[in-house]
Amino acid sequence: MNTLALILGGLLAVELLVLVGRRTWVHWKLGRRQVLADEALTVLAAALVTGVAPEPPRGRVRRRAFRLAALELFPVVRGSSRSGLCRLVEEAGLVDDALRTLRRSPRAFARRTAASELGEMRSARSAQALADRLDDRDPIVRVVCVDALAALRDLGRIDRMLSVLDREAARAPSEAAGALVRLAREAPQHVEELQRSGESLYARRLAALALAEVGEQCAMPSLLGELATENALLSSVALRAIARVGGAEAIATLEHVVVDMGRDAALREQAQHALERVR
Amino acid sequence: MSRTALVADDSAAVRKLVAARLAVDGYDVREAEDGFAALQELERRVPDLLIVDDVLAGLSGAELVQALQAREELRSLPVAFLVEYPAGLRRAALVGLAADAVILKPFDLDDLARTIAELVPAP
Repeated sequence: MNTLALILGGLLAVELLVLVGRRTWVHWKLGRRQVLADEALTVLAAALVTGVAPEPPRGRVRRRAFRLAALELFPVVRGSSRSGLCRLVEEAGLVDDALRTLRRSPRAFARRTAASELGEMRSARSAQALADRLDDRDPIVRVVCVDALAALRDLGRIDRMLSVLDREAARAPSEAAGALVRLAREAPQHVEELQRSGESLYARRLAALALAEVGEQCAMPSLLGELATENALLSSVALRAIARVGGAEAIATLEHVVVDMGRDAALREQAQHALERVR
Repeated sequence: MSRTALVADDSAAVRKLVAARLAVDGYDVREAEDGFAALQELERRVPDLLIVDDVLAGLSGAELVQALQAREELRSLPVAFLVEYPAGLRRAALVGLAADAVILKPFDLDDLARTIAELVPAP
C-alpha cells in the first residue's frame, strides 16, 4: 500500500514538474519573441526612414520576427513609403520565405498564411506563385490567393479568380467577402458580372454586398430582392448594404421600410437610423 | 538642446515609425501607448510637439487634448492628431479639438515630415 502511494506521489510530482517546466519555457519563448519583434520593428522603421537596408535577419526565429514586424508596418504606410517597405522586405528575403511556404508547405494553414502575407506585402514577384495556387487543394488557400492577386492589382487571370470565388464562396465566406470588396474597388465590372451570372447564389449575394460596400448602384436590384425576403438576417444585411450604396433610390427604400408596419420593428428601427446617416 | 516630442499611439508600429522619422529631424522622442501614460509623460516634461492618436485606450486622444486645454502651461503645445480616415477625421472635427494638424493613417513618411515641419519649424 505504502509502495503504491509512493509511486503515485512520485508520478504526481514528476507531472507537476513537467507542467511547471513547460509553463516556464512557454513564458520565456513568448517573452523572447516579443523582444525580437520589438527590435525588428525598430530596425525596420529606421531602415524605412533612412532608406538604408538592414542586415538580412539570420535564423528562423529572427526572420519570423522581421516578417511579423513588417506585417505590422504595412497597414500604417502608403505611397512611396509602402513601396519602400516592400523593397526592404524583398531585400531581406522575406518575400522568398513566404513564397517557399506557399509553394512547398504540406500544411494548408501555412499556405493560407503565406498567401495572405504576400497579399499584404504586394511584391510583384509573388504574382505567378499566387496564380499557380488558384488550383490549390484547399479552398481557403484558393480564395486567399484571389484576394492577394487583387491586392497586387494583377487582374490578368480575372476569369479564373471569379470562377474560384463562384465555386468557393460558401466554403470560405469571410475570405471571399474580403476578396470581393477588394475586387469591387479595383474592377467593379467584374464583380458585377459575378453578381449577374454567378452559379452560386451565395457568391452572387456576396458580390452584391461587395458592390454596395463601394457604393455601386448596380447592386440595388439584388439588394432589394434580399430585402423583400422573410429572413430577418438577410433583410437586415441587405438594408445595411442599401444604406451603403446611398442615393435617391436607397433613401426612398429606407423611407418605405420605416413606415411599413408589415415589417419587423427592429428592421424599421434600423432603417430609421440608416436614413439619418444617409441623408 | 534637442527638441522633444511625445508620440502617443496604441500601435507599436505607428510609434516606432513616427519616432524614427522625428529622430532624423533631431527630436528626442518619448512614446506612450495609452492616454494615461501620455498624460503622465506630459506631467513629467512638456515636449515641443505632441503627436497623438485619436483612439487611445484609457484616455482618448480627444480627452487628452481637452485636458491640455485646461492647463495653462500645456495650452500652447503644438498637437498633431493621427486619425483613421474617415471616421476619425469626422470625430476630431466634431469635438472641435484644438488640433494644429491632422495626419491621416495610413500615411506617407514624406507627408508626415512636411506636416511636422510646418507645425514646428526648424530652429
